Amino acid sequence: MTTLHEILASLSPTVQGEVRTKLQDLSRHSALTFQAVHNLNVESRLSEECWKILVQNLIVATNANAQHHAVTMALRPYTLRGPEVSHSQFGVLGHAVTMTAFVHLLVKLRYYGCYESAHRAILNKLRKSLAVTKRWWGHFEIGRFLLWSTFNPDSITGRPFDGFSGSADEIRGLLGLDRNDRYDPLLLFEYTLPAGEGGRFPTVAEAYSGDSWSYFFRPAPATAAYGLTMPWPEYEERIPRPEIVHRVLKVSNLVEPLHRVS
Amino acid sequence: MNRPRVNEVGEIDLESVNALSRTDLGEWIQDRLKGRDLFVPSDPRDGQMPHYLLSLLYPKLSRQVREDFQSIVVGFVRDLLRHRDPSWHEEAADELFMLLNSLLPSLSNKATALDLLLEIVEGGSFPANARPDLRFRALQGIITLRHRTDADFWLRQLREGGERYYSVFLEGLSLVGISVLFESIEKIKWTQHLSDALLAILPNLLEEYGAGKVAMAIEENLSRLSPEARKTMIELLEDEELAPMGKFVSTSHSRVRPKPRESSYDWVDKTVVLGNLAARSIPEEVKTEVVAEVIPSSLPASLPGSGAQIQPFPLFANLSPAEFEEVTSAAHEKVLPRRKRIFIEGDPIREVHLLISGWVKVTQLGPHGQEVILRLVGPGELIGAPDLSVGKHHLTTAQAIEPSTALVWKASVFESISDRISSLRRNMVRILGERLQEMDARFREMSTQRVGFRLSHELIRMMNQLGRRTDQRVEIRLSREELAQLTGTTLFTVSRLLSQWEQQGILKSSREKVVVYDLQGLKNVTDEL
Repeated sequence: MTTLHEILASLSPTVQGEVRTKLQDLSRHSALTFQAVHNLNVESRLSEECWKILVQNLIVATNANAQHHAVTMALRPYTLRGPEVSHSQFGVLGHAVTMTAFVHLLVKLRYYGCYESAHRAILNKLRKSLAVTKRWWGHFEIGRFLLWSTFNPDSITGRPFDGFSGSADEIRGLLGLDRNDRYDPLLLFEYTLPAGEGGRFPTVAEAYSGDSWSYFFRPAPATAAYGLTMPWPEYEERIPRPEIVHRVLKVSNLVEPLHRVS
Repeated sequence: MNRPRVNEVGEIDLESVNALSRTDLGEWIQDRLKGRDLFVPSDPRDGQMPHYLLSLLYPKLSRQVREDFQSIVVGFVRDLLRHRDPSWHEEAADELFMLLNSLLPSLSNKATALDLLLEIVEGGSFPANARPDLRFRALQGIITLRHRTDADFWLRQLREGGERYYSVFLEGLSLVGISVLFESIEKIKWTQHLSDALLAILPNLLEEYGAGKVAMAIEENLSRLSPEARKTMIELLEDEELAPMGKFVSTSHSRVRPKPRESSYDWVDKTVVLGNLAARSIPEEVKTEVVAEVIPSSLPASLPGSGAQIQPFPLFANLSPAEFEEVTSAAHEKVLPRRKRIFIEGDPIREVHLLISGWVKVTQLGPHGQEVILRLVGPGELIGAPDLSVGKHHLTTAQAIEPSTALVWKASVFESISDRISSLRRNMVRILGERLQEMDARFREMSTQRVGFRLSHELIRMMNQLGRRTDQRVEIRLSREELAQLTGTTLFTVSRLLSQWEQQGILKSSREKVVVYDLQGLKNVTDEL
């Protein structure tokens, strides 16, 4: 594991200068890219190989859109490659997703024929016991590429959403989810990782490898035992929540019934 | 080229979207769908699709921009269909169709969109083996538009379209008809994919057609289906019945219900005694044992309405002889033939009824007209909630299920008496409290227990209340439909469970009664569930 800074230091001054200029250009584009470039500079949990590909991609990128694309394409193969988070740190994991996003996911993954059907099916499952939900939906995946989870940092037996007052926007704000989703109810999933499955530190690879980048992400400090969320400005006084990433799980891994908060 | 503004925390400025020209809007939508847009954030953590924010944003836009938005998206689909724009690569085309499908319900020109979708599925532009996902998304759109094509169309898709799209094909078939769906299932090989797809869409079938119709469609096809299919379908219904009481009880069964048979009721006297015992606070386990096992079958005849018989009723507890006399003298006795409706939901409350003998069911109608039995009222109990406030209406319907007799007061008279006699009012409050507890217990059972447990438990409870003991058996005169209404399940499931227990020699059932031969066996079944 190394940093972009260390990789650049090993390259010729010309290449160094060119890459730094490209990153500066990108960071001037918007608040999002400013934060992203800052995060690329402080990230220390990715391999040398990943940074080298990023450098190669950036050198040939001529404008902001191309630079954005260069970063995305370089990072995409390196998702779920951060260091493992010790299993002793967490028990039950929690994942929050907006109702609308989950409806779209169910249609995208071909579980339902239209949004209305998917929406009705979710409402139906909210009334069902865990056993019934698992029997019906056990094979359904609850994400597309990877999952971000939080957990209770105070107790390994605690529930992941303990300590929240219960409003969807508070959860959204503390977990650093998209602000454009405000007022959309959140669905909460609680599950444990299957044996042999590990959780990992989230890195810039997970934050910036999608088609759209996440505003609220920062790499965890070097001494942290797990990732930490970047809350919305109005929650900046609150303690960030733990976060890890892991591969997509299925409904059969849930340990509590599906829950909705508004 | 103008783009929407985004603030420093990633929020899209709606005004800036509304201010875009049609060309700029089109460029921006296209860039979003093709993954080329840098400016609008979303959360990639959950693998959200680029179009996701667009469809979330769409309803918030001005009317003019929404119309532009619609025509731009339909235009892109047309371009794709005519192969005019090769830059709609596979993933981008998928996103475009997802966006179109999310717009379809509010689209002003649905007919044009439907024509395009049908052309993609059936026209020659995309052969069946090329871009299967595109065909699939087009089929999703057809379903979204609730377009009821014929069964053959969907059956063809089901046979040729591939297992991964089963849930969509089944949804399409269900639009044609619930029977068509199950008949079609029978025509293709039962696989795990098919089972999963059916599981996925069942809530929608129940919502669309009601459990009654679904149960009947399954029942009609059950014998023709493979054992795996049969098992899955039975599980489907059982799971669904864990929903709150009566949610899925349908009236559709009433069409197949036979005309009630008249029979002789020579056991009214005993039910009075059983009812009295049941009304007192005797522990459940004692009632089960004592009432079912110890009460002799040859009880002395009692006289309905006589003071000695009704004085122990909970309503009259702690009343002095004078007060008791005052209360009862203001009432008159009424004979209620079987099936007589005592009051109907919505009727103004004019009278107060105290049941002396017989049994009455108190029911409520669900939003779709389905009848749910809230409780069975036995001797010694007030029928319905005695809310005497002026202008109040009955919230339930009461109907005698046996020839019965009741003491009846005018509501205004009963109210003035209860104002004077505080013990009477206290008794009424206590009775209402007990009823609430009973309802809580039943609600808990409905929410948490499987249907088999609920039915066996209800039968044991009924044996105490309604059971007629003859030789070594107890007869419960309730129809299967009434048992289904009491346990918040379907006629289909009640029939299936009763048949199962019949095979085990625990009971024998017919349409209008259940005869329990083996109380212990029934208890064992309950314990096992």
